[in-house]
Amino acid sequence: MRGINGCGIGLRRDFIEEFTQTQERPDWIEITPENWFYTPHRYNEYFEPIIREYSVVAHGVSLSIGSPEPVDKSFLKKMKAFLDRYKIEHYSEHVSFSTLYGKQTYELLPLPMTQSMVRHLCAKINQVQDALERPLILENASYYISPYSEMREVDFLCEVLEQSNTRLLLDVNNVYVNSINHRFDADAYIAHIPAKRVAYMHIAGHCEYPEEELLLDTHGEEICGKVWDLLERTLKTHSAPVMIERDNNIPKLDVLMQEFRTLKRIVGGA
Amino acid sequence: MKIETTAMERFIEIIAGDETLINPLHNRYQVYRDMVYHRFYETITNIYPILSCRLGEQLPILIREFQSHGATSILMSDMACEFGEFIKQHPIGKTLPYLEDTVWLEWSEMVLLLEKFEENKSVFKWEGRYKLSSSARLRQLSYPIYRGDFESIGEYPLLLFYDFDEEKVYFKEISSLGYDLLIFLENHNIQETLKQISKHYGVNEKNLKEPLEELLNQWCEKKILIKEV
Repeated sequence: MRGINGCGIGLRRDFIEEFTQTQERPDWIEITPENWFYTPHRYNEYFEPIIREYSVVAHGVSLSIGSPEPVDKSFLKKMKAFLDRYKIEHYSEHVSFSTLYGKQTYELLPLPMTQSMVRHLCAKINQVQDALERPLILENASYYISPYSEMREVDFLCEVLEQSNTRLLLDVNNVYVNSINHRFDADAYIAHIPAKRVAYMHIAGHCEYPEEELLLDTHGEEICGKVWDLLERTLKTHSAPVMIERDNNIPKLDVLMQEFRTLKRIVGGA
Repeated sequence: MKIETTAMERFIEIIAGDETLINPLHNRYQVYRDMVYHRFYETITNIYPILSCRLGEQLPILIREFQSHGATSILMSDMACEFGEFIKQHPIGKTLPYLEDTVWLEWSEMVLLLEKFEENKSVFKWEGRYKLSSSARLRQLSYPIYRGDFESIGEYPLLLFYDFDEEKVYFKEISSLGYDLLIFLENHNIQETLKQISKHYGVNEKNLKEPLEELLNQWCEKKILIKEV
């Protein structure tokens, strides 16, 4: 990915002011574009210089690529205007759906994993790429139930990547969470993904619901040892930029930067 | 895609609806149901803290009702606007009549925090036309909710404005004279407005000019009022 190398973090409003003052700098940043479509004035003075100074990936949450209906053209127009305005070349989204016939849930919902869905996704990916005039990078999402499936998740994902000729945002935490919730081998899953298809990676925290024997992909906790270990093993076969994604329960930047140092050590040692 | 679409329809029906789930504590549909509800709850309570507090135990019920009614805005902040409209139309407004004012106040504050404005500062003179800046909102409320009073029905003109120096939204309770002045300015130039106000209040123009000028200067200074070019 042009301009995206090494280790990054997700820029959040919660620490944007601290971010402009810190000496320790990530190599690149990721932003959620929908959160910056309307930027409160007090954040703009920080956001604008940061976004122009750093290499940036825009990681969307509202595309709903798997919905049966066409992607909302006005949304794509707004997204393109945002990406163009800040000269952001890289745009990623989730393999999921969040809306059905215009009714929004604002949550990343699981798709039926079928050949028919693969074809549907490929057609929509083309529409999105044409409208945005940029490649779309796809993320493996976490899921707790599958509405209807005739394929393994990893096969479904690889089919989509191959048929649409797109690259993957490999979320290592999501692989881990899904591997526990759906009882598969996380290492085998990652080994199945062609290294050349991986554009960049996410690493994040999750929480446990022991009474339900379930891990929840919350992005609101520290990254656990098992996920760090999985990342370490992944980097041995899949070399790609990695970033820390923290969306909830966001700590002070110096706390997050402690995790960032761990990430740098792991990536540096890979 | 027929089977897939049906499966997705059913999935949404389960998580957005209120049908009883088998063994809900160990049902993963319940996880999604909770997650979707949480998205709505978090956004709505962030944008409407006063409204949420006043609705109390009614809030979760209304959010679930709103969810099954269906939010259509792609962005969550816009969904909160839809929720405000839903509340304004809802029969609960008959028992809690201050809700409409509350929705207006909290949503306007949100819009003023997010909208991009031209920072135009005008120097006031008794000539030309002046208008309320896009960084300000004016409304005559029926309840002084900004004082925490949800009982005293009446007429309470309120000016809400973005303070560019402090980067915050402030509200200012204004007099009926101030309110009428801003309303007249919508359709008249400043000289005509002075005449109209003078006639309306039965006060000599000369005696009105000084206090009005002080007010108009303050508003121009705060970029609440801008000169039309």
